[in-house]
Order: sequence, then C-alpha cells, then structure tokens
Amino acid sequence: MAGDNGKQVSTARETMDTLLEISNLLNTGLDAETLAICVSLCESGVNPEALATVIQELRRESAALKETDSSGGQSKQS
Amino acid sequence: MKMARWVKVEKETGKLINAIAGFEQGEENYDLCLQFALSNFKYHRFLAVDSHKVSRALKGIHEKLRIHSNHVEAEKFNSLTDSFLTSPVFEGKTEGKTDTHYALLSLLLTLADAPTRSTYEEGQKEEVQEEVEVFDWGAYLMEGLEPDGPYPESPVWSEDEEEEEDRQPHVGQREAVVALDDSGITVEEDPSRSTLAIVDTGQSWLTRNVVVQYWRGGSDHSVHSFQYSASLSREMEIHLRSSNLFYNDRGSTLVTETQAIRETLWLLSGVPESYIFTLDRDGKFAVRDGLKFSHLTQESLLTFLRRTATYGNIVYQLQQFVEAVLMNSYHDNSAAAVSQTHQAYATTTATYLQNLKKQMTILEKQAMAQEETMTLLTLTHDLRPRFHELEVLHRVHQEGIVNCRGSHSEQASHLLSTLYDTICEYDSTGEDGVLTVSLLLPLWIQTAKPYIDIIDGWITHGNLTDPVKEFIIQRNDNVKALDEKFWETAFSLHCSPTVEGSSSSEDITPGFTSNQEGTTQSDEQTYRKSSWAPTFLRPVLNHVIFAGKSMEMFQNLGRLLDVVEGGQGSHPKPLYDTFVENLRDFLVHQDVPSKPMEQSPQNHNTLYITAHVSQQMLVKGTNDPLLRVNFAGIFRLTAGDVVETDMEQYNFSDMLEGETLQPIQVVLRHCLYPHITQKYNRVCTKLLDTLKTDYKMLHYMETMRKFFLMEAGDTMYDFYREIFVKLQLKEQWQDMSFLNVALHDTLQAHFPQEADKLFVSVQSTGEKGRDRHPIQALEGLTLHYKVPWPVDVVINTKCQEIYNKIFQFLLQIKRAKFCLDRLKFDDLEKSDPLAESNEEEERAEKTMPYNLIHRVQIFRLRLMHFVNSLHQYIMTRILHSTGLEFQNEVELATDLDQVIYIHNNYVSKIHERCLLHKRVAMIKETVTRVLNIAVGFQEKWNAGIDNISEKYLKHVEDEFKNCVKFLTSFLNNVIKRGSFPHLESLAFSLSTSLEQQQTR
Repeated sequence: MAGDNGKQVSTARETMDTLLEISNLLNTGLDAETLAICVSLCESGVNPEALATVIQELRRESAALKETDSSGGQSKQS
Repeated sequence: MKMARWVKVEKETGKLINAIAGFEQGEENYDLCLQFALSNFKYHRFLAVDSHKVSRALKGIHEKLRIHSNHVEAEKFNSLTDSFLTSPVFEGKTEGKTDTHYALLSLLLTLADAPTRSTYEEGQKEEVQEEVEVFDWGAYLMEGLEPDGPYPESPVWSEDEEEEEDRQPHVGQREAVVALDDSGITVEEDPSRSTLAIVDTGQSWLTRNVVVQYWRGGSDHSVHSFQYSASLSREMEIHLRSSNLFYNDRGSTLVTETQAIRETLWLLSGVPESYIFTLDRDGKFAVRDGLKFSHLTQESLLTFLRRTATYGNIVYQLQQFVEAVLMNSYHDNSAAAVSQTHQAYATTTATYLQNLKKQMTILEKQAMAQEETMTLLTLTHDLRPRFHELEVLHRVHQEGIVNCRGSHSEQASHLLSTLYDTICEYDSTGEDGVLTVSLLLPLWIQTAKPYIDIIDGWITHGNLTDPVKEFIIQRNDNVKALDEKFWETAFSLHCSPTVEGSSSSEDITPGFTSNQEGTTQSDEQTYRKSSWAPTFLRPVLNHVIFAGKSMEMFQNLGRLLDVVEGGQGSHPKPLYDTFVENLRDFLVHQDVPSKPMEQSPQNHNTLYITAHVSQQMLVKGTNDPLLRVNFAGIFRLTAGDVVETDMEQYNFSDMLEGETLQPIQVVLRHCLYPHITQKYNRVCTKLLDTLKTDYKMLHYMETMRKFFLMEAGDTMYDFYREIFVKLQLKEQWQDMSFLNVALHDTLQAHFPQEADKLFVSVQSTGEKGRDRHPIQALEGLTLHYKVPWPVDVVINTKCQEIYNKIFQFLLQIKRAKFCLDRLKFDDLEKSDPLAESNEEEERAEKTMPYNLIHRVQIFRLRLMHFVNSLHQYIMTRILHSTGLEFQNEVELATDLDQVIYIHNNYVSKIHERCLLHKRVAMIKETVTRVLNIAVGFQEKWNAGIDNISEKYLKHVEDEFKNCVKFLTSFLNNVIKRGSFPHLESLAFSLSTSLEQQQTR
C-alpha cells in the first residue's frame, strides 16, 4: 500500500512537472504554486475558462493596484 | 458532497488570490476578489471542456511552433502534452485523458492565448532557469490527502538538473570556456556572479561560461594571480608608472596564453581574420598593438608573436597562390591561363597546406582539451620543423614563382629548375638537408609530372600536347611538313634566337677532323641552347628533341604506327609511371648494398654513417614491407625518414663508386634518363632505318657524289667533253636545251633511272664576267638534282649549292686537264697556213725555233704535271678519301640529326679542301691563274709555234714559276704548322715540280 502510495505521489509530481513545463512553453506566466492551485480547482470541477478569466482579471487588477500604489494613489477595488 | 467540494473551491480560490494578487484573508480587497472569483466560477457562461477542441488547439500550437521554426520546442511541446494526457493522476482513475486533463490544458491554452513569437522564446529560456527552483510538489499536492510526512529527495530531480547543465553549454555557445591556464593563474568564481546565479538568466550563464570577448575590447578581470611570475605585466606597469611621470598606458587588451595559442594556430592554418594578427594591405600579417599577457611584458610578447607572424605570412602567401591558380583554372581564362606545371605545383602545395592545417587542428583540439600543458614556447618549439619547411617552401616559391616573369615555358622551366637546384643544394649538405630533401623531392616529382607527360606524349606518341606553351620546345606552325628545312626549323627552343639553328652548315666552322670533336661542339651548342631548359632535363634534352623530331617525321611520312610502341591497340606505360616505379625500385634496391658497406672496417666514408643512418639500417631489414608502403606514400607527402634514408644510403654506394656526391642526379640518371634514351634510340634508329631502306637516303648521297663530285667519271666525261669542245671551238655552249640533251644522253647511256631527276642550268655570270679569266667561263653551269622530301632534309638546297661550287671547280680542273691532254705536237709545229710556199716552208724549217719548241713542250709538261697533281689530289686524296670517311660516319650515326650534321660537315669539309673556302682564297686564286695559263697556253699551242713569241713564253713561264713558288712556300708553311695535313701531298707534288725547275 505504501509502495502504491509512493508511486502515486511520484507520478503526481512528474505530472505536475510536465504541466509546469507546458505552462512555461505556452508562456502562461503561472508559477508552480499557482498552477497547483489551478489543478486543485479544476479537479474540483471549476470551469477552466472561468478560472482563466478570474486569473487574468486578478492579475490585471493587482497590476493596476500596484501602479496606483506606486504613484501614491488610493487602493482601488474591482 | 457538493458542499464539501464547494468549500474546497473557496479555500483554493483564497489561496489563488493570495498567490496572484497578494491579498491576505481579512483584507477588503481579498473579500472582493473572492466574491468576484466565486461568482465567476458559479455563474459563468462557458461551455464544458471539449476534449476535441483542446486537442485541436494543441495541434494548432504545435503547428504554430513549427511554422516559427521552433522545431525543438514544437517537439518538446508535443511530447509534454502527450505524456501529460497519458499520466493517470486525476479523478482517482488509473488512466489518463480525463476531463481534468483537458480542463487543465484548456486553462493553460486560454491563459496562453497569444504566445507571440518574441515573448515565447524568452519564456522558453526562462523556463529552463526557473526549473531550478525547488518546490516540494509532492508535499504540496498530497497536502490534506495523506498525513504522511515529508518525502525523501527524489533522485530524478537531481538527474534532471545535471542533464540541464550538460545541455546548456551547447546553447548558443561560441567556444568552451578557458578557465585554467598553465601559467599559474587561477580563474576564480566572481562572488558577484554567484549571487547573480540565483536570478539566473541565459545571458548571464553565457557571459559566465563563454570566453571573454577580448576581440571586442572586453577583458577578463577575473584572471588574476598573486604569483609574481603571473603578474609580471602588472608589476612592470606599476614600475613604469612610478618611474615615469608621463607614462601613458595606451589601452591594452589582456589576453590569456591559450587565446594567443589558438590564434597562432589559426594564423598558421591560413585564417586571414583574427584579432591578434591583423592583415594589412600588402597581405602581410602584423601583430596588433596593445596586447598583453599577465606574465609577459608587451614588448616580449610582440617580439614573440611577430616571429610567428612571418610564418603566417608564408602560409597565407602560399594559400593565396593556390587559390589564384584554382580560380584561373576554373574560369578557364585563356589570357591568364596557368601552365600545367604551375597547376601541379599548386596542387602539391595545397596538399602540403592541407596537412599543415590538419596538424594545426589536432593541436587546437589539444589546446581546447586542456589536458596537457601547452605554451607559446612549447608550441613554437614543436612546430620548428614545420617552420623550417615553410621557410624552404617560401624560398622556393619566391625564387620559382614570384621572381619569375616571362613566357609560360620560361616560368615552368624556371620553377622546375629552382626546385631541382634547391634539392641538389640541400642534398649536398648531407645530413642537415635530409628532411628538406624529403620535403622537396615529392614536390618536385609531382610538379615535373606535366612536363614529363608532355615529353612522353611527344616522344612516345608523336603528339606535342602543350596547350599553354610551357614546354621548352615549340612547334613552328609556319613550317610545313615536306619542307627541306623541316628538321632544323619545325621546332624551336625557347631561347634567344641567336643560338638557334646550330645544325645549319653556316655555323659549322671548318677544322673538324673527327666526329668526336664534332660531337663536343654540338653538345656545347645544345648546352647553350638549353640554358632555359629545366635543369634536370639538360643532360637528355638533345635526346628528347631528336626523338620528338623523329616522331614528327614519322607522322609526316604517315608511318607513325610503325613506331608507336606496342602497335595500334595497346598503350605503352606512361613515362612518368615508369619513372616513379623505377625510382621506388631503385631506392628500395639501394637498401641492399648499403649493409655490407657499413660493416666493412676500412670504409673511408665512416663520416657518412651517422647514428641516424646506422639506426635505420639496424632497424629496417632489406625487405621491410613498411619501407615500401611508406615510399608508396611519398606522393602524399607522408614519406618521412624512409626516403631520406634511401637517399643517404645511396650516398654511400655512390661515393664508393668514386663518383661525385650528387645523389639526385644519379637517381635521375638511373631512373629517368634510361627511359628517355631508350625511346630515343628506338625512334631514331627506326627513323634512320626507314630513311635508309624505304627512302634510299644512302643512294641519294651516292648519286650526289657520282655526279656533282664526278665519281662517275666516264658519264661526266661524256657530258663535259662536249662542252669543252664547244668552248675550244668558241661556239655558243650556254644553250640550255643543248646542255640538257647532252646530259640526258650521257645519263641514258649509263644511269637511265637518274635521267629525269638531274638537269642542268646556266646562271648568268653578270657584268663581272668580262674581266674574268677564260677558265671561269663555266662558272654559271649548275647541276640540279631533284631530291625527294624526307631525304632533302639531309641533302638540302644549301648543300646542293656547295656541291655545285665544287662541281664548277672540278670542271675547271677537268677543263685545264682536258686542254693540256689534247695538245698535239703536230699542231705546235705546223706552219702558218697563210704563208704556204715551198720556199717559205724550207725557210721556215730552217728558222723553226726548235729551242723555243722545246721550251714550249717542257712548259706544257710542267703545266700538265701541275694540273695532274692537282687533279689527282682533289679527286683521290680529297674527294674519295673524305667520301669514305663520310660513309663510315653515316653508318655509325644513331639519329637523323647526326646524319645531317655529318653530311653538312662532309660537304663543308670537301668545300674547304677543294680550296673554295674564303680562308684559302689566295691559294684558289693562284691555282686558278695556273689553270688559266693552261687554257690560254692551249690556244697558243693550237695556233702554232709561230704565234708563240719568246716574250710570251717567258711571261707565262715566270707567272707559272711564281705561282708554284708561292704555292709551295705557302703550303710548306701550312704543313709546318700542321694545320692542314691533307695538303701535304699536294705540296709535295708541287714542290717537286719546282725543284725540277730550279735544278734545270
């Protein structure tokens, strides 16, 4: 059982590596941690396109927020 | 279940917000984001994931990468997606391609909606670096699922890392890093770099691992050492700064010794563009200013590199030459056509350069491997033999090619001569020159190949194939076949025109008494002629020329097939191949006798048995197969010691034979000359045979003697008697038809077959004829003999002219003799027919001056004695005996040229001995006067004694006496000097007549 478990883990890790590499190849800008979260979300049945929209929106907003922060403005919420 | 899942989604979404936007739980923004995200997840309008769509999109990406020529990435992408889809990790299933798989891929594809070319490539590189980051995926993924602790380090990870590192050096790398030097300099890792490594990018990796771009002005500041020897340059600079206030360090570039070594190797491989060595406008390499080693001062480095640069110049020059020859040959530019000899030379030079480059490449690989110590000093030391070779080649090239301007033949000859002379020169230096000889000998042999081929084609097949006129001998196109001057003028040597045509009769000076002398003279002339011929060919040039001309004769006779070796079908072995084979056999064979020589104790040549040779002799047996193999490789310039050993050994046997120490010449004498001589003998002998048998050359020569030199006395007597009688009767004799009829009548009687070939003409003697002696009346009479073509090369018009002169002189003697012989005593004593009366007769008888008659008769006899002596001398002593000598010589002659020479010599000899040469013009004049007296005397005689006054008699007697006296004293003087031995008999007979006169 333990062996199976170990094997499963290593397979999972390999798969994650592969996925990360694909992600890098496609220039998605996701790091390993975010990717792992995305995997987990997708597993939970979240629509990937909706997830993608959310990620893009979050990125855009946080970038805008950082910009306003650096220029001394107030924080802005979406 | 659904709730539980939703809770998990919420939790993950929170993490996601934290990861992307960085908001913490409890912040206002966090909540807003969470709300936004969850509402999006719940109430979206997207369709469920379509695996086909995703597959198509993946395919599309793959295609796109390929279109952008990112084949590597495309393949990688393909394999990654494949392996991802097949991995059974999601939804608790044991196989891949679940919805989650496609969902994830769809997510990535959506996020990577516009993977443009530029961002893509960069991203790919970053990916390589970013993977280094450590992230415990296992723990992360299994979090919450399995309570087990941390997983051990997977070996897969570290392997991957290694692989990456192995692969990295190949990415855009120009050359391997040169990290360590033998000079004691250690290249230490820059601390700033190691910190940089954390945020590593491809660029930084490259700058760290690729050699410093010193050619762009960059210098590696990491190269430093605390050893004094390695920081000499710096110390020197500090010293200079401190001692000289105005010291100005012009910007200098620090290069490492390895860099310098590699550039040196490139230089010697003929690379024109390098940093350290710059090529100036004259095509010479100069060393760039401002270079420095850490362990050498600039000056010493410059001096060192400059020396190497000279050899780079040589390589470059040779390379330029080879390229120029190749370009010219390729473009087939007839104006700047390159002779075959030059082409062959360029080929061998190219082979040499190729070998040199190979060696340089091997050295460079060694330098790159950095497994053994290599410094500039050791490099130059190792390359010293090469440098010497380059020097020799440069010398030869300079003398043989660069300094020679002129026609192709001059250039080719000069090149071959230079090579040959250089070989001889080094050969004579003995042991020292051995290496050089082994370098130059194959070079020379190969360069000589076209030349030898031309000779071969000419003397074996009769074709002088010489497209760019590089051969020393050229065919004169304006000389047609069937020309009597064919032999002399059909081919010309490329030399000053003054020495051409030596075989013509004009150049043959009198005084040749034997063939031996003649040959010497001829050799000298040939030597002069051949001053432009390649040195190696000079000893056999004559043979080559004669054999070639003979072949040409055969061709013109239409009988080339008779003489081409092996008949029509087979092809004889090329001369060059025979030469090379013989050379090999000869050199191998020479191995054998050298052994006992070494062993003989009283060998006085011990000096020549050097350690090198004796070692070779001990090591190598007589039948060493390696020796043969090596020698076979001589033409690939690979022969090393073997050839020179053979040369050396040859020295021995040669020395012991008491000959001069000139091995190359002796080698040639054994290997090349015999073949040429053999061909020469065969062709020339065959030609002579053909001329003698099929074209009756000897017969024509005999005919010339018969008629022109009156050997056929009876025939000619019949002919000239008629003319003499007419002359005596003072009739018109110059009538051509009469003369020809007379001649033909006599010929029909004796030699009917010659009747149509011989005819006679009278040339007008012009105004001069008036005050000439009556004896010279016949001077315009000329015989013509039609000699057919191949023979008229020998018996040409010029010879016929001389024959005619002799003929005319003989006619004069014959006439005088004829006149004197036909005198009758009755005619002298008969009385004047006008005073015919008995009284007067009686009175006449009384007054008949018996005394005078007696004197006249005696004078007649003396004249007869003189004329007979002269006649005898000319006809027997001169013409006959010289003729016999001539016949013997012709029998012994080996080639046509000799026959021509002998014949010309013969003709000029009899011309001279018949007193017709300018030098003996005085004697001729005197003799003519005597002959003239004879003719005049005959007239008086026939007129009767009454018409001969005492005064006249006294006059002619005195004249005759003077003439004879003069002749006698002159001839005696000449005989005393011994210069004209053939005149002895004449002098003797004349002196006897004089003595009689004196004693009287």
